[in-house]
Amino acid sequence: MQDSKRENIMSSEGQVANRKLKLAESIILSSIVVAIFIPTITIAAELTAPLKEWLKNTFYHHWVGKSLISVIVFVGLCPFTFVVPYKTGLERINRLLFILVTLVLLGTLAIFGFFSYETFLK
Amino acid sequence: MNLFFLNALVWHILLGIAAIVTYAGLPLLLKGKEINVGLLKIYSLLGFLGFLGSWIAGGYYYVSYYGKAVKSPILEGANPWAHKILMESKEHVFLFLPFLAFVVLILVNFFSKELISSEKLKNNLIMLCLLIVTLGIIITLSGIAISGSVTNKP
Amino acid sequence: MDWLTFIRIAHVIGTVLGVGATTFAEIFYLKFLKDGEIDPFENDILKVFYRIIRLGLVILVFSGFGYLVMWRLNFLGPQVFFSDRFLVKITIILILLAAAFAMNFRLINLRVGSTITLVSWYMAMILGIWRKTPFSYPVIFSAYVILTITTYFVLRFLENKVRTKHQ
Repeated sequence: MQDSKRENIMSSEGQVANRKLKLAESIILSSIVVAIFIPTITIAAELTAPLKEWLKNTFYHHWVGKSLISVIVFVGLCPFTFVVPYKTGLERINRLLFILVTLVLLGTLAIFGFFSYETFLK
Repeated sequence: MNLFFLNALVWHILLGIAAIVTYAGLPLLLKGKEINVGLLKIYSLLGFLGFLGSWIAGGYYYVSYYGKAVKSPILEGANPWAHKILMESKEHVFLFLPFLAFVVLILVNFFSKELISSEKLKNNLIMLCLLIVTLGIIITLSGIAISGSVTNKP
Repeated sequence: MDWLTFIRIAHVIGTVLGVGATTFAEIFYLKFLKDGEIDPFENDILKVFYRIIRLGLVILVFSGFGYLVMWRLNFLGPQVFFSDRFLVKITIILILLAAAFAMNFRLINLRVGSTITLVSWYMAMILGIWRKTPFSYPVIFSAYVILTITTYFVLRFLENKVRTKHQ
């Protein structure tokens, strides 16, 4: 009886731990998508006047639009990636963190590089 | 500049710097002999709230005042690149920070035990914090250069 | 009391704490070396100085931004913000921060790091006081580098003298 009780406790602890891993992974995955979205929409809006106009007309200011859409993308993706069944673990989280850091660095370089190019070389 | 915009400008700087300081402190806490989990959680929460506050205050200043009163003097002044490169880049690069800060907050709160036992997770979290600090410093220096390019010459 | 006075007081306090603590950290380090080792009690004393240095740095950074906001509101412009004196001061503060970080993570030799910290604090203080510095960025920065290298060798000479005296 005591053994089965211990097993139940361990199994529910395991479920909580797994849910935490899943939630953390879904948040990191959503952040990765946002890290790709931000430089993409930044550069796209500069190169496509109608897009920038649409952001300005819909959200009052293009930057407000980019901010809000980033939040919507993040918040919208989190539950989706949480619900989709896949195996998770600390190893995956470590790998995703590395990918996130790399993408943010590349995104930063892309943004600075693009505006520098527009100012000095165009 | 009225009191509202002045407060928005000052608070976006104060909250941003405070957030950067907390993310500079996190790696130091993580590398300590004994990890103080309580302090880690406080720092990560303060950092996240700092960036949120800076986002709102800075955004309000930028959208309501900067475009109308500050952008033109910079573009017409000696350093138009301060707006064309630094401001344009800064306002978009900043958008990464609240999301990165949220990831740190989640990791510190969900995996406090694993941070003590897993060297790899600890190092990845340190790397993330250092990225936030680096981006924060770049954004801060850009802000200084932008402010320095504002003159009231007609 | 107006904001500028408050900021000035805070900036001076930050500088006093940083310059003072880093000076005494070096003095006490040399004193503690007299018996050839730093025991746990002496290590605790030095840690107190390092904490004060950190506190001074935080106060300095925040009050420094107070100055920048004042300059911005008064439209002081590129003449002040991009002056050689100010640009060198910012460079030195960034080097100070990097050295502090590197020392904490043992990425640089502690003696090199403490020398950089000591010279950086004094240079930042001097540049803050000497407003009408006539020198250009390369000249001031070269002076900083030369001063750092010289100070390193002076401190090592003093350290060796203290060690040989003990032996």
